[in-house]
Amino acid sequence: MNRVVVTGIGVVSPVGNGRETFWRNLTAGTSGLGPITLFDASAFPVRIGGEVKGLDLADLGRRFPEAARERDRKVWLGLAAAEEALADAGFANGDLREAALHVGVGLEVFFLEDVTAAATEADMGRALARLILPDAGREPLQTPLDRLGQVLGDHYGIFGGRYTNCSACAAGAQVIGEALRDLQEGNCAVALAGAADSMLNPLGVGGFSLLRVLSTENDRPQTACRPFDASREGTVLGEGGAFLVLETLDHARARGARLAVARPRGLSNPRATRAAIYAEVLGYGASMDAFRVSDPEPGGRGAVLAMTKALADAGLRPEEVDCVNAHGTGTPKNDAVETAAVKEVLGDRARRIPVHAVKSMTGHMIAASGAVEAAAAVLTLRTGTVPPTINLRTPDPECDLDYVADGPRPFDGRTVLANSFGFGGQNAALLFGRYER
Amino acid sequence: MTEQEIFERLAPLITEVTGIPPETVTMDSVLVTDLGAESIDLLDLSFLIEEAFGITIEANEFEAQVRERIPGGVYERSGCLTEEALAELREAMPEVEPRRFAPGLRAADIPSLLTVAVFVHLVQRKLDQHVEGPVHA
Amino acid sequence: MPEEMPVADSVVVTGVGTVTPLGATPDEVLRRVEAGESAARPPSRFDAAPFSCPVCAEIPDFDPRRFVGESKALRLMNADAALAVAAARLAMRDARLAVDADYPGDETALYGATGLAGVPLLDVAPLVRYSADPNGRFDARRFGSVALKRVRPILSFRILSNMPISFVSIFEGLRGPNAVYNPWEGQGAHAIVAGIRAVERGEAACALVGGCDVKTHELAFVALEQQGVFRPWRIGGKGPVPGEGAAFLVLESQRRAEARGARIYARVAGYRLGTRPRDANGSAWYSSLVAPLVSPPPAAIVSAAEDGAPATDGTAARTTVKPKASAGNLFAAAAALQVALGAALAWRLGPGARILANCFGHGTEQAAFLLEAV
Repeated sequence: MNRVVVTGIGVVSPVGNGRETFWRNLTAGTSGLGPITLFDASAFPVRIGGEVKGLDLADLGRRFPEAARERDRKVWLGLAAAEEALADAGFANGDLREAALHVGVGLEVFFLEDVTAAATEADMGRALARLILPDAGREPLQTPLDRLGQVLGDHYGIFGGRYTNCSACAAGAQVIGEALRDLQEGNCAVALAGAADSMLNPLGVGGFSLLRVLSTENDRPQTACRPFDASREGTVLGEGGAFLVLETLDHARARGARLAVARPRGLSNPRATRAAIYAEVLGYGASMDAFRVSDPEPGGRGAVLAMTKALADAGLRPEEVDCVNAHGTGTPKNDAVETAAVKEVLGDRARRIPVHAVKSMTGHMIAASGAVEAAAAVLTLRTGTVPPTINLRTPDPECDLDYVADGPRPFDGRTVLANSFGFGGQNAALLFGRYER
Repeated sequence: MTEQEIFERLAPLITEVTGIPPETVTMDSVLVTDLGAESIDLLDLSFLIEEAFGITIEANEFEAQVRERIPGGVYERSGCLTEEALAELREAMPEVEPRRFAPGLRAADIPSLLTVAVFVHLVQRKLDQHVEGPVHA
Repeated sequence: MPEEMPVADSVVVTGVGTVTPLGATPDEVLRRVEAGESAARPPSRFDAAPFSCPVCAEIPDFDPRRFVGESKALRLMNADAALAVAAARLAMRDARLAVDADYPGDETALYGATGLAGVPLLDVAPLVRYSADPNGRFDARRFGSVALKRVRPILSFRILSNMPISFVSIFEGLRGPNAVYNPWEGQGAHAIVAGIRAVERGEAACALVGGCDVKTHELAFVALEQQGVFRPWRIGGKGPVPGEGAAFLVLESQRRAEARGARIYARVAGYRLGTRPRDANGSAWYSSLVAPLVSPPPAAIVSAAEDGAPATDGTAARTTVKPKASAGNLFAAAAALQVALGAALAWRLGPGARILANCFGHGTEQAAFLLEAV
């Protein structure tokens, strides 16, 4: 079985675009949450979110003419992140014909603006058809979920398989796990794996608000997402995208890879054609709760299984886990269940290592979260810093681990376990390791 | 409407969200533990009740009431409800055995205590408010 | 990717479950396809006049309760999910597989595919109506203040793309490796391959793989029209017949299947995956994709050909079945149906018979599976 390493990272997120800005702001404990500006949320029960700011879509559109008329914001977030990752790995103009592409996506319904014109008719469906179809130049009212994969695949000439995974909040982590398998088993030597999502639209915010999983602290967005805090009362939706370039170790070495020398100030790889190895992907575990529709199993059985399998997959013992990059959504249920599950899997070790929640700053980016958090796990290993969990002021007796509430932590650990637990009960756990020859 | 009338209109809604046949639903049935309701079922029930009776049920209906009754008081500490809050909740929900409002109870646990009677009386109160004249336009 | 898989311990198909416009067993579907029946009819729930495609394939009188009994979860499920749990239940029953008794739930995998436009307009009609201003323009303020209050909170469960497969895991108690793919025939094939690989590498003792899709409502037709799927109808008066249905297969290792006395339809003798370039010459590209699988030529082929789509590979065989035109194109469920029909053919033709199940379709991802009766 091939060893698999990370040689490129690209991120767009509420705390910054580009992996360096993202990492600088994340480790500094910067909140990316604020009032929603992407649409008029003034009459919504939830009016806050984590928006990607300052992304020049016109500029991106010039570089991706295939997507020129694309209305779906998620696609653009994904393109931006993938572009950065491939350039980082030295594949901007590279031969990716045999590479595999694993893309995680969330939900796509349709553009409400397209449909409301038919709302006044009794037979809405007929009205819709008659309204939309004659206009052949019109953009589709629904973007197929494989759109991002097709644009990336066509643009970069990727023909080793284009996978589109829609497993909700677990998708971003699952695609990295599945790319890991592809590479381990020799189906390809290079894979681009990542995800993009944006629920910051009326249907996304509206739908989730009805489930009462979102914080309604609209007047204090930056502290509204408080993973593991006793007063936590919901998560905050965010948007973003992240892609990793994964390669077999042999392939990376053949391209002239070496472990990039740690540079305290920056992460740029000036020698764009040579691969820098960020970290190794050691293991992947996936499970399903198969319990109830809206409630996680109270003992966190599914989470325990995913983490246990990831450890077994990596051949690691609990004592060898040095950090947990938690799912940590800030909902009352998740954080307590996740804490219990981490303790069950890691035993004593759980109390001696940092357990941090990126979502405290980015919010919950649904399908993108698993990928953005994977990028954070890799950067933790690469830069020797664990980002803080912000907004943790009041300890909760049920959440009694070290959540790095006191600011970024220096880290010389060798492994990071990253969790993603999805709506619908899909769970994924990834293990990343410091690359050592 | 009388309590019985409300119960009779409520029971089929409870059956719809829990799958439990109407004959088995009683005023004392605890929705979560006796009828197997999960979070989405309680949310769904609130919506169906609103539509059926023409009333509005707030997200944290009881928490909001209790917070109003202890202005300046502390509702929860370290995640657990304070004695003050527990006392007010006992008063606000006489349908629930008082001993269930015990120290260590968390706000998130309240839904698991709700009985059918709590909902019946909630509906009754809301309907009475309508009769008395709307407070909000 | 393996062209031929070692026989030592193969992955075998031990159960199939299909809910389709031409029947609820693969044998019935085969029989009716071979008899020349077609499920293509003008849609019963809407007027197809505005569309280039005049027909679809519907399942008459589908009631999920016949398959899974009464359950409060049914109200949380859209039609895709209801079909998925029905087909999944049929497959597990067909395999006589009892989770936790035969294999621990933790070691049972589930890989599924769901489709485009999974929400019918009916579900979101209140949202749409109450968020329109008097001129029919979308008004976010109305959406937030009025529409949201009139929408049942369970809506999210009916529209999230992974929920149909999540419901399968809940109904069947499957707790192991998993993924959900979307939206075309090729992604349905990815689900099958994921299951094969999970069993092969020992990550799962068995895998339930398949998909579900409902393309028989208005919104789906609008989406398909706009995606160009109906272009063949516009140009040549013939084209894909959008259908509704679900299909699932139970896969396990041959050794373990034999150990528990399971009935084995066929082993997976090989498969091929390919990403088709847009300028690829249809037939030649497909022929080169399946070439490693068709020497010697198979006894039967489940062809993915449909009117207007040149999804053929030129392989000749004594028996060729073309279900898509008659049973409808089940999109995300199509691949599982093709393989299910292949498994049924393998069973019919007896030990040694090789069946090629082509899972070609829309999008770039294409696949073909070679089954061999044992």
